Amino acid sequence: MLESIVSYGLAVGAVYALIGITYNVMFSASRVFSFTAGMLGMLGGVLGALFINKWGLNAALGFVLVLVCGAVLGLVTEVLTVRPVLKSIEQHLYVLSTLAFALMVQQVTAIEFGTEAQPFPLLIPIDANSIMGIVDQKFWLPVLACIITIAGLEFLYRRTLIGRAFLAIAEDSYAARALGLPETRLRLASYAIAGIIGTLAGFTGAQMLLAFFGNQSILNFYGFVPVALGGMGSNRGAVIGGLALGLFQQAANFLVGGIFAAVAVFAVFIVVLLLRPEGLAGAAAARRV
Amino acid sequence: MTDTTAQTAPRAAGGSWLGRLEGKVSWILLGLAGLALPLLDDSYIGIIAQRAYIYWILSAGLNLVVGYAGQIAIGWVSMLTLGAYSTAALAAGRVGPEWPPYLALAAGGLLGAVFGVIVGLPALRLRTFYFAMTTLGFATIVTQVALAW
Repeated sequence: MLESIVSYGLAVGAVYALIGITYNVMFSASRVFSFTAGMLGMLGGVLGALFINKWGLNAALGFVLVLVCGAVLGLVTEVLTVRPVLKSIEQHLYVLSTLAFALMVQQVTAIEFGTEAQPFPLLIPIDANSIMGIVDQKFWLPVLACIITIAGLEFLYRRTLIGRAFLAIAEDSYAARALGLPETRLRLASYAIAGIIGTLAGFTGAQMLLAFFGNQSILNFYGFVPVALGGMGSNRGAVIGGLALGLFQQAANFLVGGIFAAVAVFAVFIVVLLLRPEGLAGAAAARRV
Repeated sequence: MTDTTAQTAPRAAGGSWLGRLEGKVSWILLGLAGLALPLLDDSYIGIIAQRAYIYWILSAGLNLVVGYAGQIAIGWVSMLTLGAYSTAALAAGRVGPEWPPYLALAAGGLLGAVFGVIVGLPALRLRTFYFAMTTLGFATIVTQVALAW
């Protein structure tokens, strides 16, 4: 029982952490909390099953195609739903525009792909008796994806000029524009990166969560919980929060049963937000008045 | 609707009960039309009209939160789900003995109030999209529980 809590909990926690990072990447580039993160996660699984199972593409080619679709969707999100409401960001209209876009994509997916949860193909052919087969690939794939994403983002943000420009935009977009940074293009780029990370989360987690259009709302919420727990904009907080959430949810699944696990997660989420509204790790942000 | 109210408002201030009634005439007509809905029975138009009335009530509740309290609440339909499922479950005897329908209806409303307080509690401290996310999370969980029931 303990092994299955730990393996499944860590794997599903890694998916939540990746969705949380998707939120963070979009938020730090635009100060907009886009509700499309769960949609990207859902599409990662659905498109993967479509490309590999239905079209019969090779797994590697399907993987690349899914990530490309994620990047394109990220760009479309930015142009269609974020850019028009940036001027009135204080009214929080983006809550509605991004959510509406995500819901439309979800409806189209349900109509075109079907409302049944569908199986996701085995990605890497591994002999079950070999050393790699000890832990099922559906458990270590999301964790591996999470580690690679964190390492990649850390490298991008700390070592490269483009990454530092991203940080500058996140810190103070007005000052960054005054220094001549191309804010719009950087914002587009970070939405594309967010699209890639979101679909990566869905793709690697789909052997567990299946290719199912209803995953959108679940991922949307469970991906936000680590962000709220770890503090907004903090990727490390999101990873720790995501893994903790996955383990907690899995333990609750075993102890009190499937439905009440969701209720338990919600209760913990509300209690933590009431006690520490700025997140467990984040500092209280000054409010613009 | 609002036009009638605006035009009759000065006269209503005159004080006669007839004048005061005139300002509310559109609402009264709407209420009478609602009472007459059972005449349409299960016909196509009747079902559409019933839904329109249900959505009016639903958005009146949402208006309290968004319009008067100024909070961004999404996933408000979860409250409709909650009321519908709990009323139906109580009336059909899925939980304990069968309840009389109207008592079950009142209980459904009370349950909605209780959960409204639980969801609204974070609004005292949280900023807009945290609260929006809380309501969305609540909606997600209500859906999950309703589907699993």
